Amino acid sequence: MPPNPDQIEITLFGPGYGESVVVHLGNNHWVIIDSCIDSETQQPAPLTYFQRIGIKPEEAVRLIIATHWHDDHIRGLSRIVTECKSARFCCSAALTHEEFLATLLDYEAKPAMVLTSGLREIFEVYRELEARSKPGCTPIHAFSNRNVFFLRSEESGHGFECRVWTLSPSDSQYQKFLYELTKLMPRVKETKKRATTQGPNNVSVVTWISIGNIALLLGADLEETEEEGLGWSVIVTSAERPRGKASIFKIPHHGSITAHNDMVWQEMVTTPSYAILSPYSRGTKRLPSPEDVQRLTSYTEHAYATSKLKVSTSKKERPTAVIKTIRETVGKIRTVQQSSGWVKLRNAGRQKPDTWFVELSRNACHLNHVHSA
Amino acid sequence: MTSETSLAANMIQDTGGISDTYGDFIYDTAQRYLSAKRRHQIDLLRNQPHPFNDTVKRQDIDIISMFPSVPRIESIKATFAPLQEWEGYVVEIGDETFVARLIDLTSEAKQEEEEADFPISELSETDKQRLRPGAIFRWAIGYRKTRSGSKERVSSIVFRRLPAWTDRELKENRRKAKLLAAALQGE
Repeated sequence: MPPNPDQIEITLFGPGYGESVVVHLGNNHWVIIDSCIDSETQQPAPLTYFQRIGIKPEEAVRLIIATHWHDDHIRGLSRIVTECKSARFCCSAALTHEEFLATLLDYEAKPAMVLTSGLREIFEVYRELEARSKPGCTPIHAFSNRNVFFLRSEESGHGFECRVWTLSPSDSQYQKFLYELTKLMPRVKETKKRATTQGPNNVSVVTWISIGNIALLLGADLEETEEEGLGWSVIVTSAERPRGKASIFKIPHHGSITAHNDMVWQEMVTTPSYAILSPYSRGTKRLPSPEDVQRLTSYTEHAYATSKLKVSTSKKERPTAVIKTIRETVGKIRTVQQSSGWVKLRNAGRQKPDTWFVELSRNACHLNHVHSA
Repeated sequence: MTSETSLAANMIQDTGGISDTYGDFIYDTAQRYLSAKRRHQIDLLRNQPHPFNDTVKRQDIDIISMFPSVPRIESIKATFAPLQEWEGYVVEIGDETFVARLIDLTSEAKQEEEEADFPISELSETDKQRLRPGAIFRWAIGYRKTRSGSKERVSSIVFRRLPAWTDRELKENRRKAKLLAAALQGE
């Protein structure tokens, strides 16, 4: 069932392949942040969700935010942009900078492989926007403390004014991203390869949504750093950021300690609050770690994960000879796409906007159980 | 299957798939060499008047007889029948293994669904030099039929020898990037 016009709803999807947040601001006005592929339907999870609850994305989605270009946040985004024809697209200005676009073309104008990448998704998004070629289709640039979307109280369905803010990237983050981009930029005579997504997520767009007195803090993948002007410190100490405290916090960077800042919990998040995250697994890296879980649950008991963090062996049906050879060569093949799940928080509507109901998908769990089998 | 056979498979692929295994390769080369030499010697004897005496002629004949006569065999084409193929890219490189994400080409998967740890020791020396984050490779498992008719199960990892970025290409992309940036600003 879709939310009532006066109900606020936030749903976090992941991991499947990526992570995505869908927010119902009220009165069938929706915002999508990032994208992920649902492991069952192989479709972008937000679109699958809209189909399930009978929402027409081409009419209902007003804003799409791409927090950064990494694979685990953007897979399927071009499909979403194509389908949501009336939505504005918002991303960091760094992602429309000429240097970034040239790098994008270097890797994706003549792709070297079958596999898609985060850059390919951005490339496809821009092709779609370019094809529309009208002023309202140009990307909205996200930067510190910018109000990127506004919904009047008369239109919101619950009588509260809605504002969507981007809290990052700061000027320093923007410059740092362009500097680090030089490491990704190909050089003449260098052998072609796939763009790698290494390094800190400096340019990640943190989103703040205020609906009346309710606020949501969506941390994307922004990491903390000791460098001046970067990371969470610059957000939490900013005098220009929207005031208030968020009752729902999408934990940044899958709960990693590298994205933690105690001041954020003290200054920007209510007590108690709801904390939600999607786990991450790639190579030897697993997030959140048991220590991360302990740390996060010390701030709130209402902490949830979209799925359990388990490494499973691929169950694909293959000829016996292939299975035998896999065993001899690499031991076993792991599944990348963990079963996707979702955590949904829906409030009680305009009469009790502070009352939240939590709904978990079959794969989702309390954060304390994210490591249990 | 040993790592040796895998390395052999890699090397063969590196040489462009000319031959099948080391054994076949050496056998074929030897046969070609001996046949050519033998033919040349016979042609000399049959078609050209020899400048020396009969003794020398007999000596030549003796030399020829020293080469073993190898029966010509019917050429059986070496084949590889893949049972499973992936395209992969390197995610992490450790001391002994590298982690790669894989897209199943056999089932025509649209995105990478699998990940595995590959022993670096399985790679050929050439491929070891190509090993770096983002490097793209093909992994195939299947049956190879050798020229001698035997059948063996092989795993072959071959890093793709992609072309290099050219100055012209990068400059062209910069020109296009300017246009795209302008378009994205509504110009």
